[in-house]
Formats: sequence, C-alpha cells, structure tokens
Amino acid sequence: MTQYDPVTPSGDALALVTIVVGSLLVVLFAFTLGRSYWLARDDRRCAARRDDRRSELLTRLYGPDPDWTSWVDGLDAADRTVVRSLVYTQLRWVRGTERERLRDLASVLGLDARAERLFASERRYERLQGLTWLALLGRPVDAETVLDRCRDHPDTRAAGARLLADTDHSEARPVGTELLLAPGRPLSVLGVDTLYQLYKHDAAELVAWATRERERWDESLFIQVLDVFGECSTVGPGVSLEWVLAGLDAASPRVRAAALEALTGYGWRESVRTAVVGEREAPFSHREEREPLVRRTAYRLYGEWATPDALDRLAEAVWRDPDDRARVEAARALQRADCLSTVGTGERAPTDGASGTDHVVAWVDATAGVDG
Amino acid sequence: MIRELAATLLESTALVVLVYYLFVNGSYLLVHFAALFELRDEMREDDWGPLFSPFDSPFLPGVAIVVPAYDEAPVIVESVQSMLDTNYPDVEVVVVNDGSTDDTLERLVEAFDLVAVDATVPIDTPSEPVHAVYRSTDALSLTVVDKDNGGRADALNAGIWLTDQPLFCAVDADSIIDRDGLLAVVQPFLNHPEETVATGGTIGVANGCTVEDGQMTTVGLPNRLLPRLQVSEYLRAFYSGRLGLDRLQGLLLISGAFGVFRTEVVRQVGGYDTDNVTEDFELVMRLHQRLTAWDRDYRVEFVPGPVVWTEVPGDREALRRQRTRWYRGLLATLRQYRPMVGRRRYGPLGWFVLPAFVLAEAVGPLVEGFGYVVVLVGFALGLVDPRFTLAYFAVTAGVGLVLSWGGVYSEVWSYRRYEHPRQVLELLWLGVLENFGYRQWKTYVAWRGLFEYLRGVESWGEMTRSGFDD
Amino acid sequence: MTAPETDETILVADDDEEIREVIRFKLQSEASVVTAADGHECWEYLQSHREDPPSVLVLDVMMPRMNGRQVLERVRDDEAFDAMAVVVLTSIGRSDQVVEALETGATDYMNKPFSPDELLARIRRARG
Repeated sequence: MTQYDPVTPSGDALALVTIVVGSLLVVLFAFTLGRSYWLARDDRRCAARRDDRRSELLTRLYGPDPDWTSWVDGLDAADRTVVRSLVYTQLRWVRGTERERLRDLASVLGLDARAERLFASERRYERLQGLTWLALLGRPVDAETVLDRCRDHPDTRAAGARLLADTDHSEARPVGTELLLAPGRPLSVLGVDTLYQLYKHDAAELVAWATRERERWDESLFIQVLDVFGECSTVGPGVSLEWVLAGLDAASPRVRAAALEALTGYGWRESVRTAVVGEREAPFSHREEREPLVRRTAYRLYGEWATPDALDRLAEAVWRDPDDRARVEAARALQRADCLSTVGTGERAPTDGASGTDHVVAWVDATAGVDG
Repeated sequence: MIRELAATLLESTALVVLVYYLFVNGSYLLVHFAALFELRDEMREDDWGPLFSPFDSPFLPGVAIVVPAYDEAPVIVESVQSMLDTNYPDVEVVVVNDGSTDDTLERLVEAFDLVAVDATVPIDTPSEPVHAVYRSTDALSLTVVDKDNGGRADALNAGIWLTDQPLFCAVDADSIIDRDGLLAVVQPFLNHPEETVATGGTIGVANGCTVEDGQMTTVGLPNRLLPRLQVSEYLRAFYSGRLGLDRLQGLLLISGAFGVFRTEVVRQVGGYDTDNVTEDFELVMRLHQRLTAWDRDYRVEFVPGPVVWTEVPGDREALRRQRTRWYRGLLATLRQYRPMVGRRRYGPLGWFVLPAFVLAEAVGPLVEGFGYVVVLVGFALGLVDPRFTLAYFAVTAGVGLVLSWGGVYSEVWSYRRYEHPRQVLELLWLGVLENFGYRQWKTYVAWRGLFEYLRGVESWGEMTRSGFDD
Repeated sequence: MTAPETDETILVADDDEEIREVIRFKLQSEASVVTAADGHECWEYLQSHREDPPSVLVLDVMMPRMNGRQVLERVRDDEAFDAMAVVVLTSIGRSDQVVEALETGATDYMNKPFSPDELLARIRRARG
C-alpha cells in the first residue's frame, strides 16, 4: 500500500508552508506576550509613583515658589515620564496663574523644545502632535512658519489655524482664514469651530472674505461658512448680506436651509425681511419651497422673528404643510412665540379643510406641558 | 477502476479546495495587513486628538441613542441610566418599548418618573402603531416610545422617525457603552462632517466582565468555554476584519449593537428593512447603493477605540441559532445586492471587497466544511497519506492561528482592554483551541444556515436575557 | 499641609481623578475636602450627612452612575440641603446649558478649563 494519492507530491510544498507559518507563529507569540508583560510592568510602576509625584507637584504648584528645576533634577527617568503625563492632563484642565506655573514646569522638562521639534517634522502626525503641544504650552509662533508647515493637509490646516486662534496671535485672522478657507474643501468640526472662534465677536471680515471668495467654494464649504456666520454675533447694518441672500435661491436645498438659518438673527433688517417674508418677487417663498428640510428651517426662523407676517405664515403652515415634521416644527415655533393658541382662530383660521391640524397643535401643546 | 475514478475526483476536489483556500486566506491576510496600517493611524490620531474640546463647540452634533427594548425588564433601568450618563453633552435617549410582554415599560415609568404626552403622535412612523410617547421629569433627555411589537428593525424605525437629533446611535438594551465611547464613535462625523453618514465601533464580550450600575468596571474573560471562544473570534473580526476593510474603503457591516448614523440620510433611504434578519448589514449595503446612485461623496467608517460590551450566547443551541440567522441574512442580503458585486462604480468596495466577501464569508465556510469531509473520506478509503492529512489540518489551523494571534497582537499593541499578561496568554491559547472542533462546527452551522435559507426560514432566534450580574 | 481653620466640609464630585486632586489640594487649607468619583457616591455621601451637610458642593455634570443634573435636581428637592451652595464645574460651555444649571438651582457655574484661584474665590463668595 505505498501507492498513495497523487496529492502527496505537494507534501514538500506543504512542509515549506508549515515551516513558514510555524515560524511566523513563534514570532507573533513571543512579541504579543512579551509586549503585554512589559507594558503591564510599566503600568504598575507608573501607578505606584503617580500619587506621590502628583502630591509633590500640587504642593509646589500652590506653594509660594515652585522651584521646578531642583525638583525635576531629583527625579529619575521613570518619574519624569509620570510627571510629563501629569502635566499633559493638568494643562488641559487648569487656567490662570497655575497654568503659567505648569508651563514653566513643562519647559524645565524640555517639553517646549520637544514640541518645536515635532512641529518641524516632515511627518504629518508629528507636526499635528507638535501643534497640540504648542497650543497647550501657549508657545508664541510665527504666522509665516505656521502657514508654511500646515498648508499641505486639511488636518494640519485646521490645527495650525487653531494654534494661532488659541494663542491670540495678531495674524490669527488673516492667516487662519487663509488656511481654513483657501482650498475650497469642506472643513472638520475643529476647522468650523476655529473659524467661529476667529469671528464670533465680529464677523464683518468674514463677510468680506465670503463676498470675495464665495465663487471658489464648493457647496459644502459655503454651507459651513453660513453655519459659522449664523452662530457669530450679528454684524452691523453697514455690512452687506448679499452673499447670504444669494443662497436663498440656490439649487441645493441644503444651501437654502443654511442661508435661512444664517439669517435668523437679522429679522431687524428691512432687506432681509423683504427677501424672506416679502410678498412679491422675494427670492424665498415657503409656499413654493419643495423641500421639507428648508421649510422646517424657515418655520424656525419665522418663530424667532415673530413678526405678524411670520406668525401668519406659521399658522398657515400648521394646517397646510404636507409634511408631518414641518407641521410640527411650525407649531413648535408658534408655541415658543406663545402664539400656539391662535392657530385656527380669528384671522388665522384655515379657509379650507384643515384635517390633522388639531392633533399637531395638541401634541406640541402637550409636549411643552410635560417638559415644562 | 472505481478506485482510480475516486482518486481523480479526490485529486481535483483537493486542488479546488486548495486554490480556494489560498485565495480566501490570501484575502484575509491582505485585509489584516491593511488593518495594521489603519490601527497605526488610529493610534497616532489618538496622540494629537484633543486640540480643542468639542464639548464647548456649538457645532457638536446632537445624538439620539435609540434603544429597542423587547422584554428587557431585568436590565432596562440600569442600562438607560448608563446611557444617560454617557460622556457627551448633547444626547437624547430614546427607548422604544417594542410591545414587551413583561414590565419593561412599568419599570421605566417608575424609575424615571415618566409622564405620557397626552396627545396622538402627529408624525407618521414607518412602523407598527405607536401608542404613546413618554417624557421623563427626572432625566430631561429621556424619551420612551411605546408601540406594538414589530421586531428590532421596526422599533428602531419608530425611534429614528421620532427624534430631532441629526445623528442617532443604535444600541441594544443589554449592552454597555464605554463612557467615552459615544464621543469616540462620533469622531468621524467631527473629522468629516459633510461626508460621514455612518460609523461603527467595536463589540466586546460582556460575559465574564464586572458591571456595576451600568458601568464596566473590570474587563475579564468569561468562565465558560463557548463565550471564551467568541472573545477570540470578536477580536479577530474587529481588529483585522473591520479595521482592514475600513482601510480598503469597503466597510460593509456596522454592527447593530453599536453604530451611529446620520438620521436624515437613513430616513431618506427608508430606514431599517423589517423583513431582513440581519437588518444592520442590509442598511449599510443600501446606504452604499443609494448614496453611490445619488452621486454623493460619502463615508462609512469603523472606529476601533470605542467598545460596546454585549452578552454573547452562552450555550451551543443559542449560538447556533444566532449564527445560522447571521448566515441566512448574509445570503439574503448579498443576493439582494448582487448587482453591486464586482462593479467598478462602487470603488474598491465593488471590485475587491464584495467579491472577496462573497467568496470568503458566504462560500468559504461551505467549501471548508466540504474539504474536511473530502479529506476524511479520502483518509478512510486509504487514498490520502495520513501525514498529508495531518499536514493539511496543521496548515489550515496554522494560518487561522496567524489571523487569530494577529488580532490578539493588535489588541496588546493598541487599546489593551485585556491588560493582564495572563489574560493575553489565555487569548493566545483560545486561538489554538478554536481550531479543534469550534471552527469545524461553524462550517456545519453554515451548511445548516444554507439549508434553512433555501427552505425559507425567517425566524430571528430569540435570546433570553439574564441581567448583567449573571 | 495647613490644617483647615474651620470645621466645615466641601464636597467635590468629579469623575476625573486629576481634577479632584487639583481641587482638593487647592481647597484643603480652606476647609476639609471630601471627594466623590461619581454622582451616586456623591448622593450617598450627602444622604449620610443630612444632619451636617457640606457647606459647598463642587459638581461636575457628566458623571457615571447618576449625572450632575440629576444630583442637582435631588439636592434642590430636599430641604436638608437648602443651606448648601452648589458650584457646577463642567466642560460643557454652551450658554443654554449654563442657563439650565442656574435655573435648576446651582449657586454658581464655572467652565473647564478653570482657574483654581477663581474657583476658590467663587467658593468663598458662594458660601457667603
């Protein structure tokens, strides 16, 4: 019985595979277990020192003179690792004089030099780490350098702009905005929030930027800038809102909704009111608006404005809008303006069949009752 | 003569199985390799993450945690409390009581001082009828929806249609989310707010862990063998499978137990499919299909960091029911979306991930099971060299082991949820053990699932909940 | 370590150990400081000290096992704690949340990151 199946010749290949797989397994085994062991040991050591180092650190932090240099000199390498991690967490939670003292400690530990080094790196993730540390340490940076080193990727652009904003750099607005808005790509929430930080108290320059650059942005970026603008404090009457109004008859429903949202704070402007609730040739008309999403936004805006025109429209929407959610939104807007009871009465009475209106009103009323 | 025929048949079958085997494992290794790169990037990102506190930002999207609950009385209060305490500022918890026959609703009413909103719900939900909506006077961000029984997908749909939050997170009532898990799984929506439509986190095995007041306090391994084996399986599935597919831009599956979606988009595509037994897989496939058809620039991402801890089946019968259901759902969904397989239009998902997925996940277990039978038969008839048989099993087990151990290595390299070296040793051992019986049993389950699918079985296979402190 | 001059207690509830310690060290010369790692522990402590409640509660909002809002609701519904000042300390910086906290009965409100000096000043003021 030596004549086996012809499958046997591949036995050699099989042996080879066995050896390859076998050695791979040995390596994996050793690496996995070894690494786990070392890390667990490090953890134990750090945990044992952490409480002591923390109380020393805090005693010095709140004492008359921290004298970090002599303290750090007395620490061994493992202690310094622990202290670095303490500084890292505490810098994030602490402000004021204590933060300044922690920054001094960071500098004694060589963390600022390390941050500079990371920021100068070719590798993107190292530059990002560097930017995070520079922001934590509040290190002064050169705007040109930031522009130069951050231009290559959306992540570094947002982070670079954030660093300038956080350190109150004098060039934060022009350089930050250039980093954030030049490429025309959509931003991360970090980017959006940074843009907001730059302009939240005075958005006039943002308007100038938008008026000039709007054409170069894609839909997403335009929406994001509208969102930011809507969150900022309102700009004075001298600043033109043409670029926002232009969004009202954009082809994209999301742009129309964002433009409406951005105008919520501008009900006091005649031109804005004409554009949104004007009777004739207004760029926006909720009656002709096909997208429920946009109508819902419009209803929220009407509720905020609460002008007689706007309230009439809401009352009409509660019984006429074909979309469930939009009707509810309209009723909620009326409820917030304390006018929910006017639906279906007097001048705001429906002229034709108003089926389904009652339970929308009852629902919004009851929900408001429960939530107080 | 017959013997020669049998030998030829055996030879060609063995060859087919071998080629198949090489292909499938080649794909797995490739995906695993991609996963290592993805994990490295994730770790680096974690290093620079907190340049700003998103909690301060007016641009942080609100999230509705939608919890379908059918007969979850033993766990519901604890679980809702832990969701309310999630480390995320703008969160609404929407519990959907799916016609429970026990006192799930009553327990919620009592624990959170619920008050029914005294009016008919004016929004038409694509689900079984909603009886009432309750609001809590104790926890303001809690909403409870009470409806007729319609299954998990149906309950989720009711919640999705009744929330106003831009994002929703689907979570099972018997699961525990890491406190910082929600922020972590939402992170892709912060990185790419315009494009991201769906993200999913990791599933961990809760059996054997210590849970106090809805918080995971100690991560441990289950006592019983079957759940233990599943720990090893889950590590491999998430650390190499999902992570690698994410890298290859072809994430197909976001577990129903822990996924975040853009509410508006899910409403647009029609919500969960109540007829599919793996509604989570079907939804992600539908998102890929529709968003590609609409020419949307979109992203579906896996985030390895955040974990939802969930109880896995403890006995063989329950596990078999779960797995045959998964397999049936896999076949049904792949059949439904077969026009996407191999299509360039869908990017790497279409031309690589889907074809590989069909071959490895749908056909793979069947071929493997068939291979075992052929080799055993050949061995019994004296047609195959015993050394060859042994070597065949050794190599199959060995390559499987490389993948399992790769998963364990990734765990040690990155998040270290199993932090004791003893646990790691145990995980490595489980990788070995899996190859003796469990793996073969799973091929049997796949065959059984195939027959059930062909017979048209549609059952869900219920799992009894025993509460966390089991 | 200087011994506190009074016999009053300040309770600090925050789930982050680093923050608890930073506050504890800052306040320990002012009063004796007790810490709680979550809302449940905080409420338990308050329940067992109904007779001699802390003069000030420094309260985080997002905590496990009962969040700060629920603690605040309960504290304000219970007259045993009428005299106790509550300073809410949280990383949620949005104005609607501030209003909500103050409406629920917080004495004062501070955002993280915070200045320990300022916290001390506000605690002194809140205590009256």
